[in-house]
Order: sequence, then structure tokens, then C-alpha cells
Amino acid sequence: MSSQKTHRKIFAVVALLAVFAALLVLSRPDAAGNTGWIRRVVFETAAPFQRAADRTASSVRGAWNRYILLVGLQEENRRLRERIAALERDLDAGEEIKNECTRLREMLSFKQKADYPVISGRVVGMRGGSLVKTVMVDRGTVQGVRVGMPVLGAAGLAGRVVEVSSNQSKVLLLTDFNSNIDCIIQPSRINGIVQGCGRDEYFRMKYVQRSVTVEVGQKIITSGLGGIFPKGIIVGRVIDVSRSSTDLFLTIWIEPAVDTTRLEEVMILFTARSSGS
Amino acid sequence: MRYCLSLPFVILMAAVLQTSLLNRFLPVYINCDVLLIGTVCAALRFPLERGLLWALLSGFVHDCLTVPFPGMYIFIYPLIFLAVKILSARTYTTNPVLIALFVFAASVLASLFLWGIYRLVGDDATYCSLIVGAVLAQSLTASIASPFAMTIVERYESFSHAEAT
Repeated sequence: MSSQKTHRKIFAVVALLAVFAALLVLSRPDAAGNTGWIRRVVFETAAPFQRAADRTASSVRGAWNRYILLVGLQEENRRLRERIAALERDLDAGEEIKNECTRLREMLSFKQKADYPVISGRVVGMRGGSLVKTVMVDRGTVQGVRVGMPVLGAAGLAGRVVEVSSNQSKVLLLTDFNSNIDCIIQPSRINGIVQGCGRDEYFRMKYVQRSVTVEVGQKIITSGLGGIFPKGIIVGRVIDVSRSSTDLFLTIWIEPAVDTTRLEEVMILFTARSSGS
Repeated sequence: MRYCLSLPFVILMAAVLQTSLLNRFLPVYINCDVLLIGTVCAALRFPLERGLLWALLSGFVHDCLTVPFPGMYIFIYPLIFLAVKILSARTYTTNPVLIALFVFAASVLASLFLWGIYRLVGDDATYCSLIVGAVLAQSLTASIASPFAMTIVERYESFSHAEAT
């Protein structure tokens, strides 16, 4: 009798492992890179609950910020911050356009900078763990979102869409270990790879030659190589440069332009390659 | 049957609580892994098959909702579950302090597994500070929350057993 019970237990454990192994296989992205259907089902099932939780959290936080803390001042502060962020964005864009024009004039040619349509979305879930830096956004394939689309915060690049279901998408933030983006240091036009460190406060730029002079405060922007991120989106500013005598390359520490811990609304950029058009 | 039908909903709600509510209100450096706490409590309260189902489902949902690639937590949670199950077979685990200690150890262990995975896939110069800062803060939060979580798991256990009585 006891042996029969043990056999039944072993059978149950093996069956469970087999079922979840099958689920894992089904949740893999397909050949085109689209999210596996079983993961899309989980996304869609969680979506209404996440939205309800987000609404609750927003209203609680909103009530706290607007009424319990200084009424009016908070709202004005928020408006002014948004205005500053918008002006800084315009300034960055202007500086980049100026640099581009100078180079293009030198080459005696002119190329119009690409302009992409944008959709805004709300962050409905965040932070999978201390090391996993992803957020869920309430926009999906129904709204035209595709895997690979760049995601922007108010002040610059925040990440890119890695999985998408009908009404929800998962965004891999720049601060995640798995995020690697080709960027350039704005004044010197030197390329490097910006990789997340799992920290919200900074990330690093790799593969920049030791001979290059990099100064604190310089801006890092996307290079446009790889075709996922358009050129010229601000990623962050240099906060420190590590120069080891044994390393071939510099390690440049960068402060993100977007505070990914406070993301509430994001913009998804419909670039030509990711949208498939 | 009642357990199998209600468990996906319970796990999904725990994941939503974790990602959409708790992580919004808690400070940035503190992350409350509700699903991990649940897995440890399940290891302490449920028999092997039921607990393993809990751990696998938690890992799967966690993978789906937060991790950029499939298969990380679905691997870690069952390992944590088995470790706690084996250890708890030799101890008296209704004491809240012991439960908190189990959860603390499990949270550190999960982070070490994650560290191992990240070390396998790439280099990392800043991980040591993460271990001390984020992981310890996360483990402490989880252990403080564990006695409450255990109460909920116990209630859920009696609910899911109601059909048998």
C-alpha cells in the first residue's frame, strides 16, 4: 500500500515536471521573435488585474501627493518639472541637429532626419526582482506595438519592447543586465556599447578605447546602428570614467536620462524596422 | 480539485500584488518577492505534489510577467521549494521566527542562483554591491512579511482541503 502511494507520488511529480517543461517550450518566442502564445495568454489574463491595481495605486498615491502633502505646490512642481524635461529634450534634440547639420554641410550633402510616429502608454507593473529590470505597459499588438520598438520616458530612452500580447507589452529597461545598446558620446562621436548593471542609478559604456578623452557630464546618445533605436536619442550623462592600466578599454559610468524607478507614462516609438513597415 | 482550479488565480493575484502594488510603494532598493515567500510557505505547509505545483506555477507566472526570457524562475523556485522541503522535514516549523529565517535563507539562496545565472551569461563588475545592498534588503523584507504570508497560506490550505472533509 505504502509502495503504491510512493509510486503515485513519483508519477505525480514526473507528470508535473513534464507539463511545465511543455509550457516552457510553448512559451518560447517563435521564429519571427513574437512572444510565445502561452505567455501572451498569461499577459492578457493579468492585464485587467494589473490595470485595476495600477488605478488603485495611482489614486492612493495621487490622493497622498495632492491633498495630504502641500496642495497646489505639488501640482505646480510637477508641471514645472515636466516643462523642464520637455525643454531639455528640445535642447538635446537641437544640439544633435546642429551637430548633424555641421557634419552634413562638410560632406556637401543633406539628409532629413527621420521622424517616427509615437504612441503613449501607462506603466501597469514594474520590477520583477532586485536584478530584473522590466516594466509592463498597457499597449499591445492591437495598438500596433511590436517586439523591438524603442520606449522613451520624458527625458530620453527608457528601454525597448521585448514581449507583446494583444493589449500589454513587456519593456526591457536600459538598466537590466540583458540590455546592450550601441551608443555614441555626443561631442566626440566615439562608439561604445551601453550595458545595464542591474542598478537603477547608473549603467556603463564598454569598448571605448583607452586613448579617448571622456569627460564627466558629456551626453551619451543612441548611434542608430543596429536599426532598433533611431539615432540621437539621449541615453544619459557620463558620471565617472574608470581607466585601468591593464584594460584595453575604458569603462564609462553613465547616469540614466530617465529615472526608470519612477516611470509612469512612456512613449513607444514606431520605428520602421520594428513595426515591420 | 479545488486546489488545482484556484491555485492559478491565487498565484496570478500574488504576482499582480507584487508587481503592480507593493513594488510601487516600497522604496527602490527594497523588492518584496511575494511569490518566493509563497513558495517557501508552500514548502512548509503542503505535501510534495501540491507544493511543487505551487512552486512551478509561481516560477512560470513570475517568468511570464517580469523576466525578459523564459525559464529562469521556473527553474529557481522548484529548487528553493525542494531545499526548504528537505530542511523543514527535520525542524518544527510553526514558529514565526523559524519561518522568517527559512524565508530569509531562501531569498538569499534565490539571489545566489540568479547571481550564478547572470555570471554564466555575462561578466559583471558591480554584482558584489548588489548582493550586499539589494539582496539583503529584499531578504529582510521577505522574512518580515513571511508570518503574515504563512497565515494566508494556512487559510488557503484549509479552503482547498474543505472538499475532502
